[in-house]
Amino acid sequence: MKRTEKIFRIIFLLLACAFFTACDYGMYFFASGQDDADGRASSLSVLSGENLPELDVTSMPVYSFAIISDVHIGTTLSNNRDDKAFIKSFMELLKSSDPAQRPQFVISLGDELDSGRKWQADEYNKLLKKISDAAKAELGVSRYHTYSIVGNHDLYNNGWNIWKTEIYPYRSFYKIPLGNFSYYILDTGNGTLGYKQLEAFEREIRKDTNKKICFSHYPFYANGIWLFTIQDTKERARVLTALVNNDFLLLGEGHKHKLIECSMGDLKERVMGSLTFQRVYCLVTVDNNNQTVSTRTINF
Amino acid sequence: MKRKIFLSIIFVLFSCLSVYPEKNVSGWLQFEFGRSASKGLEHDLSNVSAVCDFQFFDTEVLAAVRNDTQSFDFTGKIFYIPFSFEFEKLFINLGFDSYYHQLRYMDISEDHDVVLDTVFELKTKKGFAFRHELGWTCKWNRIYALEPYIDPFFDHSVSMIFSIEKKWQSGMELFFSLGSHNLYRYNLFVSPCYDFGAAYTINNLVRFNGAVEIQMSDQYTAAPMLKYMQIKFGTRFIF
Repeated sequence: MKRTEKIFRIIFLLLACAFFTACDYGMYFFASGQDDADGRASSLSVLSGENLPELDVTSMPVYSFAIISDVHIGTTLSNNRDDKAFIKSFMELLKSSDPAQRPQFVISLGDELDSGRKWQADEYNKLLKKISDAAKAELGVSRYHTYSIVGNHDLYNNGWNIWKTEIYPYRSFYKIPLGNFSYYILDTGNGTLGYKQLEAFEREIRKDTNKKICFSHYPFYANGIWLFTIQDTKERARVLTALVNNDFLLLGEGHKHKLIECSMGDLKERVMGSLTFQRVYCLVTVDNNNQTVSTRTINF
Repeated sequence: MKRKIFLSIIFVLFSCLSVYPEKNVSGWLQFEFGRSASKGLEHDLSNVSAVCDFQFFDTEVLAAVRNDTQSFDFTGKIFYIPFSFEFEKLFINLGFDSYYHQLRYMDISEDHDVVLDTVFELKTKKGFAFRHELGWTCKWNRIYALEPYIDPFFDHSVSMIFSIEKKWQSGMELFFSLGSHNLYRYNLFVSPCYDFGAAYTINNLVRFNGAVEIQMSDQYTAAPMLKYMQIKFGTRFIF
């Protein structure tokens, strides 16, 4: 009996050690009750007015925007982050001789914070301010937006409470209508859309006749990899079918920290590398006249 | 769809009857009703399932079908136990099992899963049982809308199930299992399935069971979310 007890104690100790190996991410299994896609993203917000880019990109025949991903402010796994080099590279784009190549806004594909802490949100906002100050100076605008997406790391330590008050645009499931194009931002922070978000997304895209672009933290296909993608085959089948059947031209995703590109008819899927780990970001150019989208990877 | 359910039940029944007259054959036929919670893709769905299991010599064969308004599942399983050891207070069985599962999801997609596991079973003479399955699973996933552009998805991963159960002489039984898959769900390892419940068997002829089945979303890299929860009630006829 004593021997059995000893074995159970050792097993318990080993499991406890395994459980606390990722202490900085919190006791996420128990503490994540409120961080639920059904609660955060039950209805779609449509951005308008001050939340749209100041320059009327819909009147420009061709315009561009930038995508950054997996900034992971506060990570201890990499010391590769170099804000100065990134801002320098971004400035070069803003100074581009072709106005169509100057990014009019930025989209950040999730995992902005490494473990959902307030100090990480503050530091992320400082980085966004550097981006915005540079853009305001070069483009001559008074507001410049970075639209952030919620990722799994943002939710650790009940990080949603920080995210929804500190990280613009303070919501996780939203649409940015820009003329002939609609941008859909999905909340996949829990590795799933959840029933309510999926239903609302499908309903909205069925009645939207625009060409569309979608962004999500978790990849849906990524050349068929299974780890680091949406795990439920029914869910990924439903989302990919909806994208292919409803005029989506680009699906941008993060999470994997690796550049993966593939094509499904008119839909191009692009999984982004990390701004911190791989020091890479992307410029997307939208042609309003021909209704096409092209992407270019930028290393710095 | 009703025709499909009917044909599947006939298939399961036929499978049972075809082996029943053999010597050394035992088995059971179970019907179950399940209702999922207001969560996940299977939001407020009801399903019915039929499972037939028979054992002869060292082999156990199982066929199962399940249907709801969105999906249809078929699972076939063979469990072969070549090594059995009896000790003073317990039995140990070592064997192999293999599963084939097919899922058809509306007119959107279909999954095919093949699992090959080694099995370790420890059963005490007082009715406690521990079972561990460890092996490999392969998955094919076809999404009809993507077929003109990309090949079907294919991937493979570790498969693992831990289960424990305790049976009392009164016929009462409690069971729990945690695994990378259960009879109808074959996601990859980071979305484990939890099943737990109780059952009561009368005269070794009829067994009534109630169980809860839970699955979390990506439980390794994400802040996990309850993706699916189902309550099930069933009746098993033992022969």
